[in-house]
Parts: sequence; structure tokens; C-alpha cells
Amino acid sequence: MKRRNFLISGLAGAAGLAVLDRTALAGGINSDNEPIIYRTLGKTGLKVPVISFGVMRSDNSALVKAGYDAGITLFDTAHGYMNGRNEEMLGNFFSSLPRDSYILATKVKPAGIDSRTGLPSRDTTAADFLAKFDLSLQRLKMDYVDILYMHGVDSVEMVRHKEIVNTMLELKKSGRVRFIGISTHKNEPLVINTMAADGIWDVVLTSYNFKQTYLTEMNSALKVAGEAGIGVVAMKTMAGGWLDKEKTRAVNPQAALKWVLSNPDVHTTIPGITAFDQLTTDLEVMKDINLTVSEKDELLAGISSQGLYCNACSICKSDCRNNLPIPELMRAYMYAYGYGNLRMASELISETAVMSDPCAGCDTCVATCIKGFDLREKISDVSRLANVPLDLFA
Amino acid sequence: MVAVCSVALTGQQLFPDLKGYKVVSDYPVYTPDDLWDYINGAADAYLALGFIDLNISEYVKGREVIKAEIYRFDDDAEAFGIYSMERSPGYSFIPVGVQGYREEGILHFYKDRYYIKIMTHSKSRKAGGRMEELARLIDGRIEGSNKFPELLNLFPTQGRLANEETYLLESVLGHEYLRNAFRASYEVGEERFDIYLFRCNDGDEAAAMASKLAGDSFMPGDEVFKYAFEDGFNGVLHMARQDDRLIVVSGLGFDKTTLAESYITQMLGR
Repeated sequence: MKRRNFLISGLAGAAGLAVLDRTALAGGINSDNEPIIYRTLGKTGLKVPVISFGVMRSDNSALVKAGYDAGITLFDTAHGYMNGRNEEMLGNFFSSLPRDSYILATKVKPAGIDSRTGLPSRDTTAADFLAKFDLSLQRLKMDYVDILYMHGVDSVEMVRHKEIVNTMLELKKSGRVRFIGISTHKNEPLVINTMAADGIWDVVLTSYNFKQTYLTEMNSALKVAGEAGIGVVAMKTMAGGWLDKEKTRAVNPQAALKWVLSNPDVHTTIPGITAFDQLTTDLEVMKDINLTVSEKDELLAGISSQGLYCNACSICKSDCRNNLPIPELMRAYMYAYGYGNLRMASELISETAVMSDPCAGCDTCVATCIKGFDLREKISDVSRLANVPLDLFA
Repeated sequence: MVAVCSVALTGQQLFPDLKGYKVVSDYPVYTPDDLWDYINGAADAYLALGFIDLNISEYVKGREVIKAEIYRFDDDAEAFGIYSMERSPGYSFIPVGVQGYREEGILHFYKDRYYIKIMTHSKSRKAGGRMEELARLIDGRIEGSNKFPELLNLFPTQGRLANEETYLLESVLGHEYLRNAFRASYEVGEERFDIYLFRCNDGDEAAAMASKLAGDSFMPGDEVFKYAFEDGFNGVLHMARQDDRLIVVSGLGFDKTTLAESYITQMLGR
């Protein structure tokens, strides 16, 4: 057998990014010496680059180091990410660095919030919230966090939940939290407007992207937030990552980020970063936020695509003469055409006991879809799987 | 003669009855399109690991509520990936499914391509016992593999840190072109390092990844290609490729090549 001894090389990896220290990396990526664009995060007074780091699902501290070295200052995690291991990884990484060289934001979700209504319950208590926050600090190996968000809020009742809000204010007063905020990705305009009206909040972390169907309300709410001095951090900026329902055309990440940052009421963004190439791409936006004409065109093409997701409102079901389980069939369609998983689609159709082309007996379809799906065409299309034995998909 | 056909239970069918509790299943089935609505940004990690859908049921008895979430993934490696990513080696492990653990108010386990999370706000000892009972009942309804992924057996045991193994589907070591790897962590003397074993479909896939890592130095004709180099972001990496097997050791400097090679040799020989 031919053996090859280890070849020792001082060469950088295939990517050719031989950058190890903070200055060198920033210089390597920002080789044209363009300055990083900073914005002030509302009344917090924190000056942050327009690109921050959504740590979310990265367990690679080398990636965080690369972002830190390149000039990113705000790192965003949450108590619940990776069941706490995300905070642990950041705690280990930051433990040897000057505390004023980075801004750490984490989120704690109060217990007992009904995910369907966004409303609190008797399990939504200060004690639970505090216990989670204490654990987060312990994992992060820090005496304080810069920003603490109440995580995943989508109702006025939670924005104004006295027990939790008072707890957050107490944490701020005690110095264990510098600034308090709310993260929201549902009913965002309502949440943001309520925050602005209440006057106690420093930062909002909100979904914001070019595909949102309620941009007029979003832009208005962000303006109100700005006027109230609330720092605005944008998330979900990639709008799910795809322009088309077939998932063949990915969102141009730079265009999507630039679009978000074209709104001066947004101060920074937290794209979820999991790869060095992605980091490099995002960092380029840190010094150039001007959308080109071609980038605008790409985004416009994305806005016109309809998507495959049925939100199961079930309005269509009451109209259907054959009482078909339309939401399930739409889900099967999504499995087949969105995920390319015919077996899942077939299994679901099998569970519904729908036969092939169940609409054949109707001259016209009176069922309507609020998303504008052509129900008859999709049902006719996907129900053909009812004739295909499951074994064929094994 | 009657042929008996066993049909695997799926979705809501996986939720058993629990004596004395009323089963409430009025949650929607979450898919990749709306998982964010349920678990917020934590969804990203699930979506990156082939998440398919999530079914939820609540077991209610008076004021006591036990919630059970069943996450389905494309395959068992991915279910193991998310389970292990959320697992801490210091947890109290219990023999349910392939493996599970129970901490205050939560019980998590995985089996086959399912990751199950059971939780309660009740502080009573009985509720904890009920969570375990429910876990075993769900375990019994899931057909399929009840073992850790086979490739984990290729990792040497000497110095291997227990319950630190995981599986990464995307962007292994922060490189988009590196996919599908099991990772185990080691502590040998004063050295702490990680070993990645890639799950390649064939030799071509392993060669393609090795080639991107090693650049022009890659020798596709070598039966066993070994290479140590400094990756711009991850520090020194030792890698080896043989047929469809690609192994990368991270965390050992050039002066520890002998140690890296001894582990790689063991893995290539299995």
C-alpha cells in the first residue's frame, strides 16, 4: 500500500485567507480600506457596525473570532439556543477578551407563553425569568450582559407583562443588564408601537425583510421606534433564503442586507453566520450599503414569487363542496414541490384517504384561498400520488 | 393464512394515552416554514439539520400540564445531530430511546429520526416520573433504529470525551464545502482536540472535499492522502483521505502530528 507521510505546510487553507489577528483580518477583507459604517443604536448610545453577528446555531468559536477580528462588535445569542451551549461557547470565547471590546446581547423567553396566541399564563413568572437569566450569565461567564431581550414577543399583553417588565427594569437598575429590549417576529408593528408608547424600552430586535407583506406598517412602526429613541436591530433579513417556490434561486444575501439597511431607522442587522465565506460576504456590506440596480431587480423578482406555504387558516374548507382536507393537501404539495420529498407527500395523502383527482366531479371550484393558491390545480396535481404505492418511495 | 402488515406510526399517532391525563392536541403541525413561530431563532439549528415537522400534544391533569414535542428529521444522523447539539455531558442520562436525559422540568431523548422533548412546569416528583413514563410510551411507538449512528464506532475510545459527540450537516469547521461530519472531542494529556469524520457517499465526494481543503497539494491518486496545514481560521488541521473516508483533526499543532496520525491511522484501519 502506498503511504504518504504527513506533509507539513505553512500555507493557508484553500480559501487563501491567511489572517489570524484582528487587524490583519479586517484589512484582508476590507482590503480597499473603506471605512466600516457605524450607526448609533438609539438612546443606548452604542455605536455599532451595520452588520452584527447572529450566533444562533454556530458552535464554532473560530468563526466568532473571525467576526470579532474583522470589527464586528455586537454578538447575539439566546438562553434557548442549542439548549444553552451557544451561550457557553460565547462565554468561553469572550472570557479572555476586554469586556468593553464587544457587546453581548442575549434573550430570555418567559415560561408559559401560549405559542398560538402569544398570551401569558400563570406559569409566566418573574422567578422563572430570573432563574433563566442567572443561568445565562453563568454560561456566558459575565457579570452583566449589554442587552437583554424578552424573547419572542407577539402580543401587547407580553410587552406590558408587569411582572416580567419590572424584573427587567430591576436587572437594569442593578447593573446586571445595561439595556432592555424585546425580540419579535410576529405582529411586529403592534409590538414595536406599544414599546414606543411605553417609553421604557431601549432596543427592539425585529424581523424585517424585503418580502414582508406588511411593509407599510413595519416602516411606520420603525419610524415611531426611531422617534422614541429605540435602537432597532433587524433579523430574518434573508426572508427565508429563497426567491422562488422551487428553491432554485437563493436570495442574494448582500442585496437583502442592503435593502434592510436602506432604512435609516434600522441601526444594525444580525444575519445568522455559520461559514467563513458567508462572513466575508456579509462583512462587505459593512462598508457598502448601496443597493445596485441589479440587486434591486433581484429582490423585486423575489417579491413577486408567491411561496408554497399554506398557513392552514382552513377558510377554504368550508367552501369546498367535497369537504376535502385542503390544508393537508396543500402541505403535501409543499412536501412534494418545496422539499422534493415525494414519500412524505404520499404518506400525508394516504393519511387523508383522498383519492386521485378528487376535484374531477366539480365543474368549477368555489373554494378560495387567501394566499391566492390555485387550489384545484394543486390538488389535481398532488393527488396523483394517491395512486402510487408507498413502497416505490423507499 | 393472513398476512400481517405493520404500519409505522407517524405524526400525532406517536402520542400515546397516559393514564389519568387528558390528551390535548390542538397545536398546528409546524414545518420548516413556520418553526420560527414556535421556537424563535433556535429554529435555525433545526432547519440546518433536515427538520421535517413538529407535532405537539399536551397531557393535562388538573393544573398539571406535561407537554410533548416530537421533531422529525430526514434521517437518524440528523436527529442525533440536534439531540447531541442540545445535550450537555454533565446531564443525568437515562436509558430511553437511543439515549435521553432528564433535568428539572425537562426530558429529552432521540430515537431513529425523531427528537422528543417533554417538559412540565410542575415541580412535583410525580410529574417527573410521569414524564419518564410518557417518554417510554413514545419510545415504544417509534419504530426504527435504536442505536447511535454506525460511523461513531470508528472513533477511537482512548481519551474520547463522553457524550460530546455530535453530527454537523452544514458548514463543518466554518467551510461551506465541508458537509456531513460526525465530530468527537478528545483530551489526551494536556492536549484537547476534535476529530471530524465525514459521511461521504463515495470516494469522489471525499476527494472533492479533500481537494478543496488541501488545494493544489491534494494528490487524488494517493491511496492514502495525508496532509497537515494551517487553515486561515481554524489553525492547524491534520487531514487524511482514503477511499470514501475523510478525517480531519483540529486542535493539534504541527508538533503534535504524531498524535494526530496515531488517531487517524486507527480510524482508517477500522
